[in-house]
This record gives sequence, structure tokens and C-alpha cells, in this order.
Amino acid sequence: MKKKILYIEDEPALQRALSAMLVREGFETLQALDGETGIRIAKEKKPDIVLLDLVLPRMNGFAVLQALKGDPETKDIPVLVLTNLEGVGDIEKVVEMGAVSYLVKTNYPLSELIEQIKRYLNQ
Amino acid sequence: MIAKKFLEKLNVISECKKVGLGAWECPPLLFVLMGLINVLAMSGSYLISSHYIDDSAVEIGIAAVVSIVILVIGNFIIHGFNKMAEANQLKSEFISIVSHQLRSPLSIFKWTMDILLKEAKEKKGGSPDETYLNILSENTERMIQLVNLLLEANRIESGRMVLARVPLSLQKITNDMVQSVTWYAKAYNVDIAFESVENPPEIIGDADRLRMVVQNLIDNAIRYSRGKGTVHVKLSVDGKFLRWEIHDNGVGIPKEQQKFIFQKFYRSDNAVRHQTQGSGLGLYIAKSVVEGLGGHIGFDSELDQGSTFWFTLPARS
Repeated sequence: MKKKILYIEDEPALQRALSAMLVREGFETLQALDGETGIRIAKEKKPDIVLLDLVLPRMNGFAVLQALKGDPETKDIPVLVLTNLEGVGDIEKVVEMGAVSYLVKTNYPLSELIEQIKRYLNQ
Repeated sequence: MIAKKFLEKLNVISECKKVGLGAWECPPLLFVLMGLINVLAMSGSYLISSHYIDDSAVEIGIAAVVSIVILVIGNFIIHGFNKMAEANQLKSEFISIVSHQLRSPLSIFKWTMDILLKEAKEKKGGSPDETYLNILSENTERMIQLVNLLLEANRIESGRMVLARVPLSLQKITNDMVQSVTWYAKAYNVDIAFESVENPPEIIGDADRLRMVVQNLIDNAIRYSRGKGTVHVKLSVDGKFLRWEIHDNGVGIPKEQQKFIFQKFYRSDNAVRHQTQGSGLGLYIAKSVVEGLGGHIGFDSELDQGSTFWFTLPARS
């Protein structure tokens, strides 16, 4: 059974690049371009991990994380935050809110990112 | 929560530090000081005038005039500093917004290129595209590094850099970095050697930031070596400190410019002549990181002979 990965990201090009690589690695990918859609898909499809951007239209990543962790249906799905923001205290904040980790997109090559995702999937 | 925020606002000096202003440039603090000076000047002029003049209306008049003059001058000064503080804050916000906006397209370049490079590598017999893709990829990485340096410098300036403090091996960081730059040194026709004391003590520090410091100092030594010689990196123990140093036989720094070398965006004349690339941020960041971790940083340099840059960090006891 293929593991399902939901990527919530408003930038379609990043969606495409990461999803293509994940499919090559044998994962099933689900995509959402905004927070509300992401939460809906998470509830319906129960992915094995959620990759979450913080800068999203209408509902930002913090609110999405709060919603996912506050809902009994989705609270146990690990959430890995992928962002380009590096605000002071953001890492602590998302980890406190229940995310497994916080990675800055520009600082990670895809291959390393996928290794990290696999690590969190196996935990 | 509201009370806490209110108390934070009252601490004017830390508010000013957030926008990169020292205590003597801080408008709210200057305002309080001007008020005190005004009260002192008023009482002083009243006391002095009462000593020489008997008419109390004149005494009060003199004190009032002195007070108004100081008030007007003070107001101009505070207004000027206020403008400076606003400009400084706008600049920090501008750098932060631009850098974050640049990171999105850069992530797209980086990840897309990762895919293209992987595909090119998988093609049998290699692909001619791979060389060009590598060039694109390396230059994207350069842009990412520059954005990271700008963001880091911005954080330092506004006092928002938070250093992690975990036990780590400076020897391992250096060794890994020396390994990873060997190809790059070769491209510059420079050899690199690393010599370390046996089993050096660990230090307490921020691994990512120290990697940045070590990388920057090694990069500089290679790039300014003028395509010859060997760059020597040395790790030793100096009392309660671990001492890291790097020696090159490069272009050196002119004596009269040495005092500016750790300033933000500063690049010496001959550095610019020998290497057009460089942001002038690396050493500024290195100094903040090393000093933030309780260490010292410095250098000895002779024009056309070479430079030795060093830093020390407290050894873990």
C-alpha cells in the first residue's frame, strides 16, 4: 500500500516539483493550493503525513496546523512545516502546536527533503 | 499578556534595539533626557538669575526663555532621530520582505533543477545538458546564499539573531567543510590542509551558524589566494578556549582598511579588484556569531603577503 502524502502549498510550481519527485519515490501525492482545501482533503483521505506551507491565501499555515491538530480525525497525522519564513520563535511555535519539524525550503535539496519525509513517515 | 506588552513598550531601549538603534540614538530615551535637561536648565537659570536680579518676574522670564530654547532645539534633535529610526525600521522590513519574496522563486529554481539534474544523470552515457544544469544550479545556490546572508545580517542588526547552544565538535564541522570545498579549491588552483590537535574539546554553539562562519573564512582564504599556494586551517587549544585559524598567502588587506573589515558590506579595495563577487557580509556575520557565543575573532594581514584569520570559542568544560 502506497503511503499518502498531502502537500498544502499555494505555489503550483513547487507542488509540481515535489510531487513529481515523491511519485518517483513510490508515494501517492495529494495536493491542495490553500488551507481550507488542505483540511478537507486531510479529513477525507487521511494522508500519512501533511507537508504544510505557512504563507497561504485566506487561512495561513498556523491556522491550518491548529485546525488539523484540533480535530480528532486529523490530530494524529504528522505535519511537517515547509516554509521560506524564518521568523524568530516560529520553529518553537509550530513544534509547540504539534508539527514534527520545520524546514526552510530554499535550504533543502529535494533529495534531502525526501529523506526527511521518509524519516518522519517511519516514526 | 496586555500588561506584558505594555511593560515591553515601556522598556524604550530594548524597543530601539529591535530596530537597530543604540541607546543614544533612541528617540523616546532622548525625549526623557531632554525633559530632565530642561528641568535642570530651568532651575539652574532661575537660581542664577535670582542671585543677580531682584525682580522675580524677570527671573521667571529668563527661566522660561531658556526652557523654550532648549525645548525647541531638543524637539529638532528628537525629530531627526525619529526620522532615522523610522528609516532604519523601513530598511529592515524592506530587506526582510524582498528576501522572503526572492526565496519563493529560488525554491522553485532549486527543486526544478534538482529534478532535471537527476534526470540528466540517469541518462545513459551522461547528458550534455548536465554541465549547463550544474552551472544553473550552482548559481541558484549562490543567490540563495546571498539572500540567507542578507536575512542573517538583518537579524543581527535588529537584535533578533537567536543562537542555538548545543555541544558540538568544531573539528568535525571544519573537517566536513574542508572536504566539501576541495573541488572548489582545485578550481582556484589552491590546496587546502587541515591540522588539528588530537581529541579537541567540544564547544557549545550553533552548528548551522558556525558552519556559515567556517565556510566563509575558508571561502575567503581560497578566493583571495590568487590561484596559488596552500591554505592552512588549524585547530588548537588555547587555555580555556578552542582556537580556529586559517592562513593564506593571498592578497592581504591594506593596513589603513583593516579597521573596517568587520563592518557590514565593507570590502577592501584589493578584495574588490581580485574578486568582483562578494557581499561584504560574511565577516560581519562571523564576528556577531563568534562574539555571541562568548569568543573572540581577529586577524593579522600583510598586503600582498597573506592573511591569518582566527577565532576562539570557550571549550566545553
